[in-house]
Amino acid sequence: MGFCVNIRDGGMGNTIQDAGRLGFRHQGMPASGFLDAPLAHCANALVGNPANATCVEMRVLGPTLVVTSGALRVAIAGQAQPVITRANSLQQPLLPWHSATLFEGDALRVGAIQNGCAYLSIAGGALLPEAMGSQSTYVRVAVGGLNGRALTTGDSFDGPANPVDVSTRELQSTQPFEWPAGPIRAIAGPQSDHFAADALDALVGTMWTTTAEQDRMGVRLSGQPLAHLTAAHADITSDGIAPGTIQVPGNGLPIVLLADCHTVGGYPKIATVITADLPRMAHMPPGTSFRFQLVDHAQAARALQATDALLTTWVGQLKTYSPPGFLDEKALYGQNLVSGFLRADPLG
Amino acid sequence: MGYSEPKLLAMGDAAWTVELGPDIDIDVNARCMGLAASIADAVASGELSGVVDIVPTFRSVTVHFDPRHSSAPTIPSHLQALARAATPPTAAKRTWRLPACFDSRYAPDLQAVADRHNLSPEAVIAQFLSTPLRVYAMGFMPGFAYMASTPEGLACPRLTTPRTQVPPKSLAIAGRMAAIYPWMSPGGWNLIGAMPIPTFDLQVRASPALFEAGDVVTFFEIDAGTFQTLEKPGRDPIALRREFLVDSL
Repeated sequence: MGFCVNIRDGGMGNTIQDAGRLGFRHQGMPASGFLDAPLAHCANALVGNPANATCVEMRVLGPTLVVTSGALRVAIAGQAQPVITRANSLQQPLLPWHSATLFEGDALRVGAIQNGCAYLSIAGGALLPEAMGSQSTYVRVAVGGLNGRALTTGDSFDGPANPVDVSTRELQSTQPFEWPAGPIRAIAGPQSDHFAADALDALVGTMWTTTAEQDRMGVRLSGQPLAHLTAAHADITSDGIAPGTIQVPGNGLPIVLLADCHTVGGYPKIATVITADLPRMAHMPPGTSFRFQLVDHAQAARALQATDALLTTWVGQLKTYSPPGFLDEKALYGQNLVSGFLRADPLG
Repeated sequence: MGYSEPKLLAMGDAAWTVELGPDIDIDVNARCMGLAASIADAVASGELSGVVDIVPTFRSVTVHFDPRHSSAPTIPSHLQALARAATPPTAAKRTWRLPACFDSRYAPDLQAVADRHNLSPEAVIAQFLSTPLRVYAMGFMPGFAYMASTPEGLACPRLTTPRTQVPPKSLAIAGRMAAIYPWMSPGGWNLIGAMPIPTFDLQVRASPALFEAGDVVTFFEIDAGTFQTLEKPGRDPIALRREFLVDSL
């Protein structure tokens, strides 16, 4: 059977996202999609979904969901301390990096997201209309997702019929998926020649700090301002921009663009963060300090291969587990140990 | 004038921008449209793979691609070859003749533009209507078209204090450009009228944006009553668009 989920509390900064809305940037439509696609892949792997299945992207305060009919399997990838309240009022944590099955009347409260971005996956995904080939929410023009906006208290959505066989065992990881530390790597350009001769050295030499001015469109940084070649070089004839682009307006302070960025922009771009490191920008709450490092295309390609290998290894170590109260009937009957008995203890 | 040799600019590991000239120029822009079309043809024929978006702008074309695709390393040489051979399309793809209402309720800056050039508002409207515009680029927001060039005699700077809310459908000018706001948004352009046909409509699934870069746009004047009639929802959006498309190749 399918399921229906009601948003009891929309939380803050939670949007439906998938791999993004490609093929419409020539019409001015941003790509949107996951800020951290590998982390979404982890959440999806935990419930048996394809890597790019639609998830709830959570950035500040996760939502509280109630299952109003049916059953669904969920998992969270990221740093949070979610709690399940079963229909019979028993509470148990939903361990991060573990899947769990919610039944009619069960509630899941995700709570605070600790490091900027986490994903809630739902086995089988959600039955939401696609707009321009994607379910991703682009809030600025109310396209995609649930009514084109962040999850809002009172919203509800349905799941597909037979999303998952809830009698199958749950999946868990023994370790979180973690991004390696180190500088954020970027390729110089497309307009590094609009800056003073030492500006690329300054970009790399400066300890930058993320500010509170950040959303899915971009992150403003604070630090020692970068100098343009001349004041006139702080504006360009608007041209194409992309997630990862480091724009530097007249005040010299960089803005790293993210998934919801416009398709064209009029500020010079000193460098562009590589695909392998861009997801890490989603995990930089205000006040996070970091450095940039310049690399070439060959290094970027190797970094991306390393990231993909890390993810493959992580997905490969997932194991099944039996949550408390789970009855593995086949094994028990096979060993002729019981004649049928179900316990449902709270965890811890 | 364009560059003698196209400039290939890296934008990270998932996009290249091919720049054909230093500034806004109708010939450079026309060659950008030709280049975007030849890149699209190369993608369609399978000669170029891994490309996910082709975005022509004023003087360049940005090509977004999947950096994991095996052909990613060969994309720059393909683009360079296509850029060297880029020529303007033989004719404008489409010409629009769109209704525009200059009633004062939609045109809060019309009098100021007129005063700046010692013209009457009627003379501003007449000059504006006399000049076909070209869509040089799409962007800023979905469906937003940068159109140029408005007559030199109407050139005007942006507002010193941008509006926090520009009503959707506003027809606006700044410098020698014109645009129609598809959505309520902040904006600093001078509002001289309004255009009732939606410039972004998700019901037109293949092409929610009314305009494409390279389109030619002319306007004719309508009164407020006609504006309100055309603005009424419920019309078939594709038929509505076709009504104002005068030429399509």
